[in-house]
Amino acid sequence: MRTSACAGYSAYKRSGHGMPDPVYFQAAAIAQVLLLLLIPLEILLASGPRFKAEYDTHDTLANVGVSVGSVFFWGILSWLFFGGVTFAYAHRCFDIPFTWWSFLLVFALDDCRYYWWHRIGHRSRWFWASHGVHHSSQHFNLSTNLRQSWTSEFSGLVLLNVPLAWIGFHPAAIALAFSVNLLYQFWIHTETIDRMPRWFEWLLNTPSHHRVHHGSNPRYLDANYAGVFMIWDRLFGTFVPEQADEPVRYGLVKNLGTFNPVRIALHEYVAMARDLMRPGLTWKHRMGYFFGPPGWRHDGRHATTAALRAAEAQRRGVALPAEAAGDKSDRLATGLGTTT
Amino acid sequence: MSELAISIAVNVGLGIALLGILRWKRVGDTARLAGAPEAIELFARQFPAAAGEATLADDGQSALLELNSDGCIGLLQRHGRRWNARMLAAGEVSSAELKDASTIKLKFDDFAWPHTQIRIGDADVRLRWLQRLQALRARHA
Repeated sequence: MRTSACAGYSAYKRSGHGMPDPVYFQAAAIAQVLLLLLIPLEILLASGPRFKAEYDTHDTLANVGVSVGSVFFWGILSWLFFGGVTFAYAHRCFDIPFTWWSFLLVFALDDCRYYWWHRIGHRSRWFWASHGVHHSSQHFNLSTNLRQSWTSEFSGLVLLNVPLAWIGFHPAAIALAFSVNLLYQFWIHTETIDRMPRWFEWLLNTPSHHRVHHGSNPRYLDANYAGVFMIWDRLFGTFVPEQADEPVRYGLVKNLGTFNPVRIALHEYVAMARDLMRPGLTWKHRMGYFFGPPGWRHDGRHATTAALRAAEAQRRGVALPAEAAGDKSDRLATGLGTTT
Repeated sequence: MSELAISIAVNVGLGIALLGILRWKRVGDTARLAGAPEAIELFARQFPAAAGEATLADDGQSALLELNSDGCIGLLQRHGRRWNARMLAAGEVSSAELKDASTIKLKFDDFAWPHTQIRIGDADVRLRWLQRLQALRARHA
């Protein structure tokens, strides 16, 4: 599992950027290790008839391999996160004390930040090249948590953390909020839990909502980006419920044929580089391949969410839900130019 | 750096522990094709318009499909507990050769799916598929 933001913060602090190191950080680190113990527990439960969880040895070991790389690159690049946040904090607008109420506030705001970070990570190929690694397994279990990007700090989306520090939230509070958010998301990567109580499903992210998020069925693509509070998806029109009549097919639209962690971590960058080097492209086309939605093509033969939904709807002769707003970014991308 | 070293060590330790548990509980490694109709059905889940005849590998972990349209070959390959389907058109196969007496080894021009191998015991069937796949490669070359 990836080093928590808290641990990264501690390392950053010791490098000469002295700031308080709350005891909560140690609690977050302990919680992280305890959560890892849930993986063998799920495997053991799944070996009986009552619980559903599909593990495969190669897939699980690939997840661990990707995790090792993710931890390594987070360790050497986390200064980008903390450097930006502490710089912004040094030029803050307000002095917001690190108290229980300010933590609740920063937690809610950081969760909104997470929603947009996640949504951008799915809608633009440069960011998808980083985040898509987490979606590349065709299995869905607690070990899927381990399959994390190697390049999330490098992609540039760490800048989304800066505004909270600029407002005046302490970097330690931001790091703790980020860590608690990621720790919450651990338990939702499972098939062993069907549904939570109705109020819980309405308010919070759950295994059911997150299964949809990991689905490659056209109906489920680009939906349920929430970290903790499901209200962001409901508010911004990206919520899609899990349907009993449509089992989730996990993975990518075009799945990988490898368990090699390096290929898993870098596959979309290689595909993007190949697309960018196609002969005869205009700069507008190159921008489309770089920033357009995943599946965008310069010749108009898109495999974007909107195109896949349209094809599925035509095949079935029914309309698929249009609320998952992938369609909007697709329309934006077609403005980048196509030659059909 | 100590946090980084500890985190990596925790991951490696976790990997070893999970490998032990997965082996102990004999998890996974269960997906096998029961027959040609199943291979065609699984292939059609990813390519709904596809239809043709399937040849199963001896180990039931992959199948080659002679598709009715476009001169394409379909490949169905086990990936963990799931199945990957792929249309092999001219340009998809960079190399097709015999790895040993009964195994065809295919290399693809694809970073995310670089190679695969298919074991076919029947010599005539194996040779026919090898020629078809090499022809696909020759068309590209």
